[in-house]
Amino acid sequence: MRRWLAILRPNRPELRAAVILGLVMVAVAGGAIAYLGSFDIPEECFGPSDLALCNPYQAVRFAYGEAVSNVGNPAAIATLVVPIVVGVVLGIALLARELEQQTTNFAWSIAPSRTAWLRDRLVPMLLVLLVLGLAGGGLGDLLMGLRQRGVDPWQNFEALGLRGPAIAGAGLMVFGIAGLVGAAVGRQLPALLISGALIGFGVYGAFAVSDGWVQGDAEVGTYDQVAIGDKVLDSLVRTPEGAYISWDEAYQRYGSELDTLNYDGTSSATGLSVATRYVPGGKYPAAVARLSGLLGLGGLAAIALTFVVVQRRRPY
Amino acid sequence: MIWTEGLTKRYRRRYALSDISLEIPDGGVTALVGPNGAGKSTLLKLCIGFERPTAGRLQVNGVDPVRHRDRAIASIGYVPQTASLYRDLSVLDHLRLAAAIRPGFDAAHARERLGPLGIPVTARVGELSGGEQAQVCLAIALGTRAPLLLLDEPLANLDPLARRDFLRVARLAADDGTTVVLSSHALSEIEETADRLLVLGEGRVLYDATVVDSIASHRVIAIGAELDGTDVVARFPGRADQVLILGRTRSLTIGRPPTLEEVVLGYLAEARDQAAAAPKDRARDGVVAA
Repeated sequence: MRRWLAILRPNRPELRAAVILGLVMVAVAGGAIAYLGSFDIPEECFGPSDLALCNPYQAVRFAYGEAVSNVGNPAAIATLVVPIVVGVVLGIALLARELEQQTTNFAWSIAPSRTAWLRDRLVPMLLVLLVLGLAGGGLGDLLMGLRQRGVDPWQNFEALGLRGPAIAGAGLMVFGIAGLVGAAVGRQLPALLISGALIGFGVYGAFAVSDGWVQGDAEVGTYDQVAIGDKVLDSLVRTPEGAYISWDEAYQRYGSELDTLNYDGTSSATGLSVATRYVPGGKYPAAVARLSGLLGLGGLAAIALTFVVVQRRRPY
Repeated sequence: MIWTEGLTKRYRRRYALSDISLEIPDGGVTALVGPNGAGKSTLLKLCIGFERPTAGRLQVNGVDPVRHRDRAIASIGYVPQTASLYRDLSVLDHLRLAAAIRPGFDAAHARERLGPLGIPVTARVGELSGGEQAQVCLAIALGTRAPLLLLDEPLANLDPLARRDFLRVARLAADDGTTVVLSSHALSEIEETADRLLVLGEGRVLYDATVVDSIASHRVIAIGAELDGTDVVARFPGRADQVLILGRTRSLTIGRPPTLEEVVLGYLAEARDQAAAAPKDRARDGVVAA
């Protein structure tokens, strides 16, 4: 333990800041969860129903909606932002600062193995980031459950990638890219700017790939079959022959006949009906696991490259 | 021991070292001297694996630092040109850090070196003077118990007293059996410390001998004095604008014995004269004087 503390001593300010930010995040999100949970509203009243028992709760429901906007949403943003910011800060501190201040001159002349030196500093940072990411993601899920009451957050595509284990994956990717750029550039400010751009590309790429995979899970059904939490992809028209076509194509083929379409899935007099392409909320766990894995793998790949750069570069 | 054969290091179009072959034997203090850009730091950085040679071969204690940098570093204690310590950490933090990342690091030995110098181990490095920081670097390098100490111009920012302390500690280390290679400009001060002199200039070895032999085999002769067939190395500027001649001879009747600084100045002047006389050759070889 003393060995780890000695190795991490140069990074104590960043690690301390990470812990403080983490505690602030937990306090903010925890406070928001407690506050939203304190509203005395029957669960039935959060659905689309018009139950008579909900009438006395109209004002409280309105207040709850305000609380979600003013407290729940900012807290959810905090659970996303803190692990990302900490990932960048730790990633930059890992090498860019060392190289800029040339302390690598000292460290690499003492440590026989640069690989071991990097590993010993990296592992505790990764653990801190992982804990922070999972905590942030978990709190984000709990907040999601309160922001959309009555829907299981793990059956809900709302805010996919902005909560849950994807936060830990994103933190890992951010940390890896910042560390890699820092190792290559060796200057903090340029590393920060370049990292920002690369992180944008990396995260966008991961979300694009994930989106493609999610589309592969899509099903087609009537509009009524789509539940809250499902991911609606597209609205289609079902032809009398049973084929699903886009609205553009349908207008070209059927013109004003589309005006008589029913949205409950029943066929109009012309045999046309409205259909919806959607991904059921039940597919969310697989989708978030794939996205988290993708982000995490991106981060691990960047970390692996960082080891290569550290092996090859000068310490100044 | 440091051994090189045809060692060349080029930075883009500039040659820092050009086809150097040398051997620094085990034991004693070897002074590596030469003007700025002579390749002194580059040679030391090649030895510790911070730089890769462009061509040639290099071995440090029988190990190629390019192929086996880990093994090479394990046998080296290194003090860089500027003390690259963590400014916010205390001296003790540095000793603990070194002990954590360097197997076999002797923190007690390092503290022993710092004690007599009055450097408190609890002080933050940022609060220490340049001389004290250099001493901390040296203490840590000694704490590695490495058989080879590479000291890269550590005297540059030190006051005369701090230089003396630093050189005394380096001498003690050499007396304990450590091989010390010290690059420096402070020629008059290293004369008492060094056993061996290695002059680098124009990217090559200009002179390599023991300090005793360097002085015994040369004489300084005033312009106009009788040379008696002495092998003239070069004319060089002495003190008070006086031009002197460095001659290679063991005759005690010619001129006077040189200081180590005069030997170095003579060989640097010789290199400069040769470079001036053969600019075309240099251009062909791509060597650019720094």
